Amino acid sequence: MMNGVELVNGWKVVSQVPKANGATGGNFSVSYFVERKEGKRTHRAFLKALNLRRIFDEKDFTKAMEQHTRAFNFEKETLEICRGKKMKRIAKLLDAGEYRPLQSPYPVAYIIFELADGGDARHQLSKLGAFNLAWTLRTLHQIAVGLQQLHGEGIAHQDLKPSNVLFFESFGAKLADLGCADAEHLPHDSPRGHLGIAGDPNYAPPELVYNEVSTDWRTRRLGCDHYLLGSLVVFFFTGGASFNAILQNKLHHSHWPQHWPHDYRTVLPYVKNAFEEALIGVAKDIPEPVQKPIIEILRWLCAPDPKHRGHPSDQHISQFNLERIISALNLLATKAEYEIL
Amino acid sequence: MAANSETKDRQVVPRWRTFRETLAAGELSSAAVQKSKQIDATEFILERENGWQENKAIPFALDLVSAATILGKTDKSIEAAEFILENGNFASETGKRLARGLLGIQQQEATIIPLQSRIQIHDGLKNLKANRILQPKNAFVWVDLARLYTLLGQNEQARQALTIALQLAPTERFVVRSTARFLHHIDEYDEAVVLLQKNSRTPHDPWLIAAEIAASGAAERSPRFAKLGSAILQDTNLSPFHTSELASALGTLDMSAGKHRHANQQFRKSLRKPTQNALAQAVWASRRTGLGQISAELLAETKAIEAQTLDHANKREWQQVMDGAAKWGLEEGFSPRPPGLASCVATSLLNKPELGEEIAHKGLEANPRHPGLVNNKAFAQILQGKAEEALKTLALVDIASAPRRLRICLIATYGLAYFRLGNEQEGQRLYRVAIDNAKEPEELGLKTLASLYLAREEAMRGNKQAFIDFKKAYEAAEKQQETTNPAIAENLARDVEQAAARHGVKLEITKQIKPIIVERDFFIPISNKKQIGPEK
Repeated sequence: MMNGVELVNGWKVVSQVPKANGATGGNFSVSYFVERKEGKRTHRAFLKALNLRRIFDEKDFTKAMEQHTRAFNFEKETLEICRGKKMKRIAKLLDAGEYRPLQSPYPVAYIIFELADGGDARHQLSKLGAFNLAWTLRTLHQIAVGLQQLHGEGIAHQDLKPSNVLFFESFGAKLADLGCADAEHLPHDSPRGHLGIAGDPNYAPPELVYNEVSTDWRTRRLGCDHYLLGSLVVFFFTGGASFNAILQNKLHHSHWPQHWPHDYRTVLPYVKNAFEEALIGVAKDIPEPVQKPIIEILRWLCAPDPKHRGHPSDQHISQFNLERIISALNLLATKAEYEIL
Repeated sequence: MAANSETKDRQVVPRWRTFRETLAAGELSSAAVQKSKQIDATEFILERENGWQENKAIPFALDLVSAATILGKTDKSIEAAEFILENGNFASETGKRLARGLLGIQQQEATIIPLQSRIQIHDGLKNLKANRILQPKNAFVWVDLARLYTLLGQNEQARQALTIALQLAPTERFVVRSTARFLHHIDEYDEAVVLLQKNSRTPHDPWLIAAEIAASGAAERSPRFAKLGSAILQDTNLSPFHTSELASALGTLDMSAGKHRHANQQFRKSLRKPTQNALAQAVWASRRTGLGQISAELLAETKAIEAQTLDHANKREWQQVMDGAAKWGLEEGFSPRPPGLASCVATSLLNKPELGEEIAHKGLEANPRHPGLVNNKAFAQILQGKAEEALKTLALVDIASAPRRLRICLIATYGLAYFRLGNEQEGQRLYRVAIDNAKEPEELGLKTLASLYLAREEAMRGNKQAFIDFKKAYEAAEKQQETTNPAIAENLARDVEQAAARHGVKLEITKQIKPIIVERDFFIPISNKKQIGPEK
């Protein structure tokens, strides 16, 4: 327990974040609220500590130690790159360090992020209550910008989902949790790079769910991020549904991943058909003025064949460039804000 | 005289239904029995359950319901789904659909209504054309589009649509089998064989091997994958439903080679969990190979319309044959077989030539110039007193290029037309040509049939010799209990008896009707000893 601990860099641990049993990555990390006095202001933040004691309890603790410290360091280093490159749509790393408690032989490594006062995407939707088109489009634009910022530095997020989109009252949406990220220039350093599905399987693109792992880094990683971004589009317009759930409902059960013994290429025609049927259902939840462009964006982002993802104009040059999609979302958001849709 | 089927022996050529119908029939799942390989996602469900516990709001409920839809439902996800439906005003349509799906509440699926009229088909075509633009990479839209083009007899457009579908999904079972069926429909039997033999998936897929064997049979070529198919049939890892048509195709192959015992073994295998197509094949083949009668329960259970129709024909239940053929025609609107059978029954056995003409005419929409349907339409027109019109109808086909058996029917129908136009000499000559042409042993039935009709025409004109000829032909027909001839002879006998009474001729015909079974234009006697169901 770090409650009440004063860290060397001036941060004071206030309380532990209520822990969700079995939350992703939660077994070996503990989260706290921290604060620091900066003049007359008290700056609140969020601390993520590596739980070494739990690691030592593991059967193969050397392996666990190697895995989790690598993951922790990878996330920290990736966040440092983001900070260095001034990526404004990525939850900012404020500090990092180690704390050596007197009464325990285990040191605690930690990273401190800015605290999202608006919670994650699910909290925001709950607070909003009614659907707001302009807010939805602007948020999606901000998320796409955050993703493009990462991609610009050769980083794929891999775990973009509602709980990893944080909201700041004065700034809007930012992307958080780079624990599953992968860097193009350091493909072997990624702690989850060896896994078929690096992030949450509920949101993973179908090719990964069916165990098709492209040997091309961009197709595998950026293709995944495109799909995850598309899933967030669906999430916001449907008030919380995951695209994979809708897709699964449209697939014949014999074509579900757990029932299909062959490769992804053989099931792809059925997935494409289910995808089109899923879009028909989703379209009903999209307000008429933006229905056509949003469905088009979804086709670009979530095409079942990763080879066909991305804006059609970028297919042969820079397939996974998000610029055109960002422009399209920005235009729609601006029009919605000015009520000229 | 009417012809009731196409020229080839029946093969297990793939059925061509819509994608949705084929999917619902279970024909597009993997043939291999697959053990579930579930991802252990307990932690991801737990995370969402906690989110839902802490925040009783729609987005959290829907997040949990979404996860449970994929990973399996839990008590808390059921609670969340109920919450969504209770607060339906605040949930999206998608959210409510997911919640209903998780709770197993039946959602009203759009019923599949067969497209019956040309207007309905054109409407369906319009929708699919729109879908083709929205979903250009969806192979199944192109196949369904091709099917409607085929129903309208627009075969070139159908071919183009199937070419695109094949480019999009070159090894997908539904696409390949539908294309093979289309090629069969337009009589490009060799092309169907090439398509199936060159496809890289064929050696691995029992459905495609079955289609390859059937296509080879229709093309009168040796199948390439029959041996492999036999080996695959031994694989216990494959569900019997998925090997049903393969067993049936192998049985048909054995039957053609005269190996009836082997054929029956295969047909029994095909009936363990039969497709409708395999069941129809078993009914069709049952009397040829001594397989026995197919159990009524199995026929009812599988809702195999074609098989049921043939079964009614076996029992001489003509009205039921008409009803069955109508349903069968809705399922396979482009096939000439249902209208071929129904138009024959309507005209030759139910004495409803106007109905026979209508059915044949409708069948010709999807099968323009099909010689069997043209023949039946003309035959029905003649019997309605429209012999001149019938000659125009008959002119649609080139008799010389028609298959041999249909050629005989067409010549006889021409003969009838001339008779009814008053040119008895030409009518008689043409009937003689038809009779002389039917010289092969398997054409004995056609010879007798032509003799019956010729004798009837002449008897009605008071030719005394014709009554003797009719009686002779009638007796010959009686001996052909394996054909339709006894039933037709009995029907024609009424006209001849009336003519005999009119002309003061003494005519005694002994009628002896036995149970029959349809096979092309033949009926084969039933042995009522045993009934065949699935192999135990």
